[in-house]
Amino acid sequence: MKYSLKSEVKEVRAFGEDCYELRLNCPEIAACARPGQFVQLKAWEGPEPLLRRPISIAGVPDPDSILLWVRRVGRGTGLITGVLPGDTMEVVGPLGNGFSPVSEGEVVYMVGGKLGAAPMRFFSTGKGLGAGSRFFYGAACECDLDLLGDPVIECLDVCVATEDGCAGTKGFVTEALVPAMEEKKPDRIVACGPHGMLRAVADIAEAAGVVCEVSMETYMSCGIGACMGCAVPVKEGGPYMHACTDGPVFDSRIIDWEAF
Amino acid sequence: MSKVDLSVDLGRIKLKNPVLVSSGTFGYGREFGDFFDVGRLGGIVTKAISPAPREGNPPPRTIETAAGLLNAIGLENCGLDAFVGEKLPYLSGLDTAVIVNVAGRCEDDYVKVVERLTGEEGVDGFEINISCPNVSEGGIEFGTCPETAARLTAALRKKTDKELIIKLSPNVTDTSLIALAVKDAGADALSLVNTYRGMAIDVETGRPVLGNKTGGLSGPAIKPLALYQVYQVSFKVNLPVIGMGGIVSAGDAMEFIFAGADAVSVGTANLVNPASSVEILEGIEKYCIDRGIGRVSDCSGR
Repeated sequence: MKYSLKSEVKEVRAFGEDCYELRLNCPEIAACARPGQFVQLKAWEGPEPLLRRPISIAGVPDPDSILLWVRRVGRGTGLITGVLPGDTMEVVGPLGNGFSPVSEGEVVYMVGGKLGAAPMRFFSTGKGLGAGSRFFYGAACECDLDLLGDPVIECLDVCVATEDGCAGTKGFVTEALVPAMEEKKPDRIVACGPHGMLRAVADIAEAAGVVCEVSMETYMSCGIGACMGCAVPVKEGGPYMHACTDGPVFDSRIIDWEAF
Repeated sequence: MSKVDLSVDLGRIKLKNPVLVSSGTFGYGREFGDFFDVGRLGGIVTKAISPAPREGNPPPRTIETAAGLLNAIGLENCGLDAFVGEKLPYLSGLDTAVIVNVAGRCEDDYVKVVERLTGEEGVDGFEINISCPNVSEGGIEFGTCPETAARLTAALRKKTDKELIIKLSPNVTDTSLIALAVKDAGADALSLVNTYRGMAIDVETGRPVLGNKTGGLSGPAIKPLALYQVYQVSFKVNLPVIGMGGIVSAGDAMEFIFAGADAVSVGTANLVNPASSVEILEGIEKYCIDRGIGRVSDCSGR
């Protein structure tokens, strides 16, 4: 079931550089949201900007709320992150397929680049994750490290890589993932982040023969399968699938990375 | 029972109310079933159907512009067989008019779809897309020349007794010439307008944003342009007009009706708020009640 609701903002907290954590009151969506799914947000009146903004769900902290991490990058996200507790915004969701459910004892390496950590946070709250599951976090610099203080992330076995070397392994997150894969292969990798990161993670997983699910980002309009705008080139079952209904989570082996 | 008579006449069919949804913005109807009772609409215009499935254009396919949306989907659709087998049963069960949008590369493509679907009880009519700006053979050549538009309309008229609506392109010098030609060839109504051809460039790369390079512009950005087209064509051509182009509110819809439209179609707004069409319907009814208007069709500015 998908809902289109007006939802009250319960909490807004700034973190890192231009990032905001929003807690929205929407029990209907909280009751059925799965990790990897997203919502479409509109926090303004009128047609400018025109489209809602798709934002990944970072968790369901209580039965009435969903948690979102949003980076302010343009006008739409500027208006979304400019809300105050007590304001309302329009929410459509939960949308998309989400990651495959965790099987009991499954060891999963969760890989998140910058705010791609949001669906990883939600994923990690699922029951049944096996011992040895780890969270690999790719950051640019110190300002991205704030989210490691999140109470859910704090409880994970976290492995950090920073591009400027201020913390953890210096370089991209794959620099941290490769040695970990050599040490112990997980049952599955799940990843969300920039396109280049996803492709690199997919290559590592494929070389190791490990199943990998990636959450793909595309230009998106409706979010519900009506406009067919969010085409993702695939090698099986297409030439194209759609990020909003077939995804945003795809088995990395079917993505036609060259065609992007 | 509504206090206002919302029904409108489109020639061979009568709609219970003037609000339709535009092709390409409403999928095959079912996508919106979670959000409201889609049977409340006056009619549903389906995603374009071509004889064989079409895979569509390479991404990116959409990009937001100032109060608008550029798209180059490329007529991706499931094809005629899958439409009949998988999509039509749901649509047939709804208490609303089902208008199938038809796309083709050549006359034969259009004829195939219309011929096959005219016998389907769940289909109330056809909207012929001779105006897609996003595929090289998307029918727009039929939409820019009065003689070819008339020839196609006449060929389809021979194949169906059902409502035949021609969807016109605004990317021509004089829309009313095409409108007059298709009227004489047997069209029952006109849809005005399809998207305006446009583009966007990424200044970092210096290249077009859309995979197809150019696209069609829709949304509030085109509303004054579309309104003008409806105004001038409905003045010159005596055929029912379905007005569309950037309608996001009941006020917008009423503007089109005053400009001469008999019915209106909500397009891009569906992609923003999935319930916008039914909210616009409620708004039209309230508009009429508040002003003591007994029949919405009395507002049509013909």
